[in-house]
This record gives sequence, structure tokens and C-alpha cells, in this order.
Amino acid sequence: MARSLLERLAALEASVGRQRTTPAGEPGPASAPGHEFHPAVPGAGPASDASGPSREPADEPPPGALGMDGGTGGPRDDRPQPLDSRGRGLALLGFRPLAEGDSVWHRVLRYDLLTVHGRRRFADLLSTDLSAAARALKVEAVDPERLRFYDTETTGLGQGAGNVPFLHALARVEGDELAVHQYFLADHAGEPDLLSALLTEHLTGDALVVTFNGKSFDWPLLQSRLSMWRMPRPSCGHADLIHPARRLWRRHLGRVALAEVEAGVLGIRRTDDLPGREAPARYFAWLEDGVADGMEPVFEHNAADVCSLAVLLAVLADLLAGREPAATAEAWVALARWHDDWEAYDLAERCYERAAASPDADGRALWLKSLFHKRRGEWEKALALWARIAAAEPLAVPPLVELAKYAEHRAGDLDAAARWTQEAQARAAAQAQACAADPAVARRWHQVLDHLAHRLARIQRRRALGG
Amino acid sequence: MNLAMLLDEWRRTPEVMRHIAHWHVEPARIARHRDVPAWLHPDLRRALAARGIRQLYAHQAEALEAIRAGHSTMVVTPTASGKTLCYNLPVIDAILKDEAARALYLFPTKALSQDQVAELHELCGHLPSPVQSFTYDGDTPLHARQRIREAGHIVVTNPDMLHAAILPHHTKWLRLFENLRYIVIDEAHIYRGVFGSHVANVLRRLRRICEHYGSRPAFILCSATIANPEELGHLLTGEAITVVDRSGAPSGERHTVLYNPPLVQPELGLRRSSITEARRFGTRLVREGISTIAFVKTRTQVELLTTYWKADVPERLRHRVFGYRGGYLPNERREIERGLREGRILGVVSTNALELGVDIGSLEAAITVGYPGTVASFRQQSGRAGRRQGVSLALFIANASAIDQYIVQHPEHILQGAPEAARLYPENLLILTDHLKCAAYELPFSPDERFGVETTEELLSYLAQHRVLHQGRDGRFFWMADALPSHSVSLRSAAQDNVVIIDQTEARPRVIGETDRFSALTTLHEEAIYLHQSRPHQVERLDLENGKAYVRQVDVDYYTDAELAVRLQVLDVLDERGTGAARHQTGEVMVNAVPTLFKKIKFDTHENLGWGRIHLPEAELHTVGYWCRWDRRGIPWDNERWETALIGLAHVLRHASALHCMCALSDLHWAAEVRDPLDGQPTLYLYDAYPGGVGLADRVFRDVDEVLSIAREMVKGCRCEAGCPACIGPGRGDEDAKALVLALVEMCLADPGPAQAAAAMKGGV
Repeated sequence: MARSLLERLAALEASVGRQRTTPAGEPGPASAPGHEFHPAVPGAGPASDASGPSREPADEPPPGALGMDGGTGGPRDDRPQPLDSRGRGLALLGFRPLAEGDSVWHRVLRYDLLTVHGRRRFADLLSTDLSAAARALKVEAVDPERLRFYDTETTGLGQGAGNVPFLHALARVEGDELAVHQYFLADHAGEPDLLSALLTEHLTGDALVVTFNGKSFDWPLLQSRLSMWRMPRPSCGHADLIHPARRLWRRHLGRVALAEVEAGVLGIRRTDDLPGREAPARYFAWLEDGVADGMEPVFEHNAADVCSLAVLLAVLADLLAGREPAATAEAWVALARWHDDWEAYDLAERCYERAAASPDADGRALWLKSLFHKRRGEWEKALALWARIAAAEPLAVPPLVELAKYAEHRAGDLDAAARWTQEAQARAAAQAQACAADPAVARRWHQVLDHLAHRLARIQRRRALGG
Repeated sequence: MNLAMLLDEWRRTPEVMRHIAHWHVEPARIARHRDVPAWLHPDLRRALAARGIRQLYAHQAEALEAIRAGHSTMVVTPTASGKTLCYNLPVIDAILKDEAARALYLFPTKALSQDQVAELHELCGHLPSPVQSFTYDGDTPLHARQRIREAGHIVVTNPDMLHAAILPHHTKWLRLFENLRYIVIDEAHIYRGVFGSHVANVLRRLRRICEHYGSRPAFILCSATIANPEELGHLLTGEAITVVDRSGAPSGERHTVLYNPPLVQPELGLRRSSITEARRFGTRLVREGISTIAFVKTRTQVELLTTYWKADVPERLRHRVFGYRGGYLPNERREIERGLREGRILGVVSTNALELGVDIGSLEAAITVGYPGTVASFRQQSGRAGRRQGVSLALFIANASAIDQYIVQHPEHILQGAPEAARLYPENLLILTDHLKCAAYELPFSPDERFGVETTEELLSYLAQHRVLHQGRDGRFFWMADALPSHSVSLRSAAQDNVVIIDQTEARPRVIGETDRFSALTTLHEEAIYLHQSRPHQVERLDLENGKAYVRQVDVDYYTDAELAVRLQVLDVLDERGTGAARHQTGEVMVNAVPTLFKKIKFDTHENLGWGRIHLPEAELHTVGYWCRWDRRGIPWDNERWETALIGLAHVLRHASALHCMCALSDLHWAAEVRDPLDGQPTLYLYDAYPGGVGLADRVFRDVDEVLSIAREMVKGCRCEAGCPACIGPGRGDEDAKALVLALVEMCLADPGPAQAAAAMKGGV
């Protein structure tokens, strides 16, 4: 008795150790997937706490307006749930179908600009000076009206052609509100419509897209989707806040992800937040059963992300514009180096001062400041710093080398140069001994020692010649 | 003494000539030239002139015209006949005429692509405007990849890379796929069997993506001589193929010598070991300073023969003898290839790994130890010796097997006979489904889209039911999982990963090779001797779960040989015919195999030194089988006679089938039941050694009369009286064995009715 094609395939797959057809790497026998993802969130509230924004759909959709499944046709009969109940779930969350068809749903969450989010109001974006932030982000002038805070939720990781962003959030200033536009891909077929709405409504030529880690993830993925559907690429600018965030807070936060920045810098506490990595499973469950409740935490998470981006930009702008003091020596150093790069030396010096004066200042802050002075030819200040570091850190070699260089080449004091070099040699030798267990590090110290020996020999030669 | 003198010496030595079954001399052949076509871009014509090429060989010109006419074309000419120009010229011409044009080159291995790119660069170096060609493989640095994607006119890669890195990220390769004019597939004959079936599906995915981006590239294929270039090309690419197969290249005088080692025990058909003979001939050739390559079948034999040669050549030549095989690490292999090209290495023993067009220059003598399974493969191997001029030698040393003895008695089979057809089976359900998933990841499927088979939609629905795909409202199927499907599909092996071999002799363990899991059961079980560069290593631990085998160098004088115990069960009969005494059937079978014990076999004498048990889990294989059932009521034999007859026939039928289907002997396994559990009848099974089958057993079923005829010739033609290892295998000394086997074969062949009708019908298909 011949088995059907599918029975054969099933048996074959089982025989090579694939319990189910999902890709390898997901062990475990065939269970009933899908439903295990279902959260028990009766009437899940907004993701953010009371101090955050509250969801205010612009207009409650009348439940009666959901009969849009009439004439689009297609093989619907085998859907697990009738379309209107799928649609109703989304409608209750404030979504409306985009144009005709019901593959793409759109909602706008509107927040008064005076809404407090973390330790800021959205309105701060309008009042702060964004020009320094623009320089730090390497974009042209930032006009608050043109900002598009952007984030996506995707079906997987990486940039492969099968990784689909199923939820896009764009926050922008509209009048006296921050409007969070969310586009939900309820059915893959609607992706071109979704992308075209993004392009025409939001990602226009003069827009500036602001993301967190978007340079390596969301933005190229969006380009990839546009290529896939043979659509034009947007010509708007793009600023990724992760780069300045890393410069300012890497040591302070340890790991620079949006959640850490929110908690450690922006004063935003999320409650009941869905971890981003669970979003794909929720979405797959939605495709199966069409129950919108399961998606609600994903929608909230996604909206909360872009709201945080708005606050993050405001905080960055204020730090860079000098309207808010930095909290750590690390942040002051970061600011100083920006100003240094931009040749705003007065500002840079002041930031270095603040870094050095900061209670958590370490040798690095002083050291960078000393190099700043050296570049500027401010030798007195530099010398004082080197002496200070050398005294404070009994094993530090570089400040002694700088002192030796100065004595040899600037002051012409060969005796002092020899003294500094010998002191540096003693310290380097001690370091080399201390690191003997780690050959790679020890080797570096021996290189340093070679350089120092070379320097000392030269100094002594010159001393002999010069008399 | 040069080769011509040595050959003269052999001719004058009766002891040698006595065992030479056939000596064929092919006279030198002069070239047939054609003018470089005037339509080629003038820059390209100048570049050719700068390289000293003023005329093309006839087949090159012919290929150029076919490609220019827009045909997908396959060039099938001997080694070193200048196949590379057949694709480089049209490709460069197209790029010179349209800067946007792109081409994709596929080579089966990384090593090959490196050689070809070097040649391409040299030609392009003579062009005034830049034609950018880049290799894109696992070694390509990340920072270079972006540039290759954007600016590479010619992207050189391998099927694995195309499968895992390029196709799943096609949106990054927009420029390539929009402007792809040519897809070049070199060494196309390699793409057969499992690997070919995978690659055909990868190419289906590639064509889908090109179509999506609006390009319709033509294929240019190159292949060693095979019987069915048109069919192979079509199965691989899905296109109609124009074949160019009349070589215009010159060749030197070549001697093909078929040597049959002397019988040492005539009644058992035992002959002197072919390895022993290869040891003698090879040592002599190397000692005379004649560059020599020997091809053996297994990795173990590579190590064995290398050890022998090293031992027998004079001290001064010892460092010029090497082994070469898969499982050596790339650097080691590159070094050996370079040594061969530069003439530093005089003798090399290889598996078929060097059969491919890896550039090792041209050697003077090639020894083939044991029939490599296919005429094409034999010709590839002997083609390693002698290129455009000078005397060359192809020496075939037969072993005692049925196939080899058939060959020495029918030399025309490898000398004039059409080479076999290269078979692939892209419809293997498992392979097809794997690639269907990858394809769905890359682009959604319309329900009416066809991916090779008519049942595409059925399969898509199956995957949707298993929540791998999601059917959208417009009916299209979309990928729905957060993983990359191509990561779990390897084109090279069965459905599983490889086992890496870790040498723990030194304080710092190092990886010295790898092998597939199924082979690991018999070659890397605990206590197995694993040979690497002729040094024995003993396996201390096999960690199948993590794919690691830990070995340590030992000093022993034996190697190991493991046995598998097999249980077989028919799952499904797909087709049957024959109504009389013998019924032929094909269908799906489940095979359970477990390695049982291993023997320790002494080097040199090959005597059995003892044995040990293997404790490894059972492996299960779902595959396609062919089987024949006899009605025992018609033949009044006792069980013992049946057993002798079945095992004997199984042995010869497997060899005949491998010969007919152009596959390795190890691609087909057999089992025999005197009382089959199903209906108590004597039954003989042959089945494909790959999950889901690769069309071999199916082919045996369809061509069963032809295969049985070859089997009958093998038995009848053998000089033994009662059956010997050469024809019906190592029997149990039954004096009637040969007669019993022949009786069984005759019974099947005499069976009138559908079998012959079907055979007749096959001619029309």
C-alpha cells in the first residue's frame, strides 16, 4: 500500500533525526508549538510605568467598522480564525487597516509633548540646541520636525532575505504632540504596501532617521527589504545613537543596550516589558491563531523603544550643548574629545577640567588632558599633570617618558631627561617582572624597555658630546 | 632512463608482458585550429595576442559561437584542452562590451577556484580597461566582501558558498543578480550523486532569484568526458544544453597498459594484491626519475602505498614522495600541489581528490590501482599523465574484483566504450525539501510556482502545516522561523555534520582531518587505526554527539577494518514487474546498520592479527531499494544452496550495478534473505546508501535486464571453475556456487513479459 508523498517525507525526516521540519539547532520532539507562547496577560496595560506616556489612540474605532474582509478573496477558508475576529483584536488595540486590504495595520499613539518620560519631557527636543548633537552624529543640522525615531521588530536575526521586519515604529513631532506611528504586517503579502507607506509618509528626502544600533541592523535590513521588492531606497539621513552612547557611557553602563541606557541614564523604568527576543515567537503565534492579545506586549515594547530614543536624543543634545553637566569623568572625557575634534579648544579644556575634577576621575582622564595640553603647546599644564600622574600612579611609565621627552627636546636639560628615563626603566622593569606569567604582556614590556634603553643611550651620547 | 626506454624494456621482458592484458598506443595528435572570431572585442583579441594566442582550437571557436548565439553550452573535451578559454572569452567579451555585465563562476572546490582565478587575472592583466574578478569564499576577508558584491564583474565561488552565503543574502547582491549574464560551471561531471542533486537544487534557487531580479543568465559548463553531457547539463541547470565535444587540441603519444596481477591461487581466483604491484611499478618509475601519480580508492590505501614507496625508493628520493587525500588540511594540500607543479615532488599517491582539475602540472605516468568505478573517472586519472606533447603512460592495475576482471577482459570498455552517464537525482525528497525551505527563505513561493517537481505545492503545504512556512492571504508561502535554513543543510554529506579528528599526541592537540559521520562508524570507532601521512594513529575516544574523534600516534604494524551488521525492512513498494519465477520490485526500505567488530590486519602480509568489538549506536537509513524475489516452489534448492546463490549474485550484481550506474561501489549496498520476513521467499536487495535514495536502485530496477546481462558476463567470463572472489565474491567453498548464481541470473533473464516490454519502451524515452 503506497504511502502518500507527505507520509514518506515525514518518515524520511524522522529517520535522519529531524523530529520536525524546523531547522536544526532546535532540539526536542514535535510538541504542539504555538500555544506555549501565549501569555497570561489579561488586559495587559501599557509597558511603561505611570511616569511614562499613556496610550491614547486618537479615536476609538467603532467595533462595527470591521467588516472590511468582504471582497478581497483569496484562500481564507482554512484560516484558524475568521478574519473579522483577527481584525477586531487589532482594532481594539487602536489599529486600522492601511488602505484597502487588511494585510497592513497602522496605529498612531499620540503623546502631548509635555508628557514626562523618564527624567525628560518630549518637548525638550524642541527647546534644546541640537547643533552639537548633529555634529556628534555626523549629520547635517537637526530639525526637530524632521526627526523620525525608528525601530523594528523582526522575525529573526541577521540580514538574510528571509528575516522580515513585521512591526515598524516611527516617532515624530506633529504639532504639539509626539506621534508614534506603528505599522504592523498582519500578513506577509502586505509588505510592499507597508514599505511604500513608510517611504511616502515618513522617510522622505528631508527626514532624519534616528535609531539605536540601526546602522548595523534595522536600517540595512530595511534597505534589504526594499531591494527585495524592487523599491527605491530612501535618500534621507540616518543617525545612530548607539555610537555617542558608547562613547559616553560604556564604562558606566558596562553593556550599552537601550535597556541599560534607559535604566542608567534616562531614568526610565519599564514594567512587564517583553524581552525583544521573544517577539518572533509571538508573531508566529499570531500568524497561526490571529489572537491580537499575544501581540500587545510586542506593540508596547516597540512603541516604548522609539519613545526612549526621543528622550535619549534630548539628553545627548543637552550634554553636548553644555546645558546639562555630565555625570562621570568618562562622559566628560567623551565631551572633551568631541570639542577637541571640532577645534573648540576652550570647551574641550573646560570639559577636561571637569573630567579631572570629577570624583571618579582616574589616570586616564588626567592623561588625556595632558596630551590635549601637549598638542596645544601648553607645556606648563602638561608638565604639572605628568608629574601628578607619575606621583599618583607609582607604576605609570608613559608620563615619565613624556617628561623625559620634554626635558631632552624642549628644555634641553639632559640630566633631567636621563633621570626621568632611568626612573621609567625601573618602573617598566618592575611591570615586566610582575607580568612574567603572561608572555604576551611581558613581551610588550620588554619592547618598552628596549625603547627606553635606546633613549637613554642617545641622551647619554648627547650629554657626552655637549659636555 | 626515460619513460620511452622503460616502456621498451617492459616490452622486452616476458615476465612483465605475460600479465599485461592489453597495451594500447594512441599516436600523437596534431591540433585543429580556427581563427579568433572577429566579433570578439578588439581589446580582448589584443590580450590574447599578448599571451601568444593567435588562433583558437576548433572546439573553443565552436563553443564561442554557440554561446554567442545565446545557447547554454557544455564543453566536453579532454584534460588540458583549453576549456577555460571557452568560458573566459565570452564572459570577458560581454563585460568589455557592457561594463554592467556580471558573471558567476562555480568550482566544486576552493583549490580549483584559486587556480582558475590566477589564470583569469593573467588574461585580464593584458586588458586596457579593468575587468574585476574576485574569489568569494569562506577565506574572503569581511572588509573585502562589500566591494566584491558591488564591483566584482566576475565572482568566483563554490556551490557551498552560493548556498549558504550568497543566495540567502541576495538583496546585498543586487548588482550581480540584476546583471548576471553568464553562470559558469566548471568540472560539471563532479556534480552527480548526492552532491549533484544538492547542487541542481541550489541552481534552481539561483535561477529563481535571477528571475526575480529580471536577469536570465546563460550557463556555460565544462566537463570531463561523460556519456550524457546533455542530460547532466539539463538536470543541473534546467536549461536545454548545446554540447561541444570534438576536441581540437593536440596530444602526445600515450600508452594505456592494462595489467592483471598473476594468480596466486587459481582455484580461489586469488591474485597478487594490486597494491603490491603498484608498489613495485611505482617504485621503479620514481626511481627512474619519472614523475608518477598513483590513484587508489581509500584514504587508508593512500597511506599504505605512500609508506611502501617511501620505504622502497632510494634515500635521496624519499622526501620527494607524498600522500594526498581529503582529510588533509588545506595548507598541507596546497604545499603538495605546488611541489608537484614545480617538479619538486616526484611521486604522489592520491585518492580521487586529485582527479579534479587541481593544477599540479603534467606528470609522465599515472597508475590507477583498481577500477575507479567509472570510465570518466579512469580517463580523468590517466589524463593526469601527459598533456600536449611527449610520451605518457596510463597504467591500470586490476584487482581481483568482478569489475576489474571484467575490465581486463573487455579493455574496449575503458578504451573506446562510451564513458558512463553522470547521474543525479534532484528529486530526492529530503534534498528537495531542504532546498525548498531555503528557497522559501529567499523569496516567497506562489502556490502555482514549480520548484523542479509537480508536487511543489503539496510540499509547501506540508511545510506550512509544520509551521516552517506561512501561507499568506494572497496564497503565497513565506518563511516563518527565526533561523536560517541553509545553515542546517550541507551539500557535501548526508543529513549530518562531520566528525573532526583531533591528534592529542603533542601537549597541544591539533585537528588533522575530518570525515562524515557514517564513515566514522567504521573508521573512527574506538581502537581503530587512523592513518595520517602514513603514520598510524589510534582512536582513543569517539564523541559522536559533539563530532569529535580523539587520536594519538602509535607505533603498530597493522591497520583496522570494521564490519557492519544490517537489518532491512520494506516500507513501501513503488513499482514492480516480472510475473514468473522472479519478481523485480522497487520501493522504499529502512535499513538499520550497526558496526559490530573490527579486524586488525597486518601491513605487508595482510594477515589477520585479531579482532575487537565496536560499541556504537545503530544508524538508521531510509532509502530506495531494488529487490528481486524468487518463488522457491519453482526451484527445489535447500536453504544452503539458496544462500550461496543469493550471496554470490548479490556480490556480482552490486558490481554490475555500480558499473552500469556510474557510481562508487560504496554508493550501493546489498542484503540477501533466504526467507524474507515479508513472505518467506528468497530475496536479494540492493539499496542506495543515502537517505531518500539518489536514483541508483531505481535505475537498476528500470534497466534490470542490462544489469543482469553484465552480471552474467562477469560470472561467465571469469576463468575460475566454481566461482571465485573475482566474480561471485568470497564464497564458502561450495563447488556449485558459480552454477547456482548463473542459474539464478538466467532465470531472471529468461523471464518473459513486462520486463522486456519495459526495456523496449525505455529506448523511446
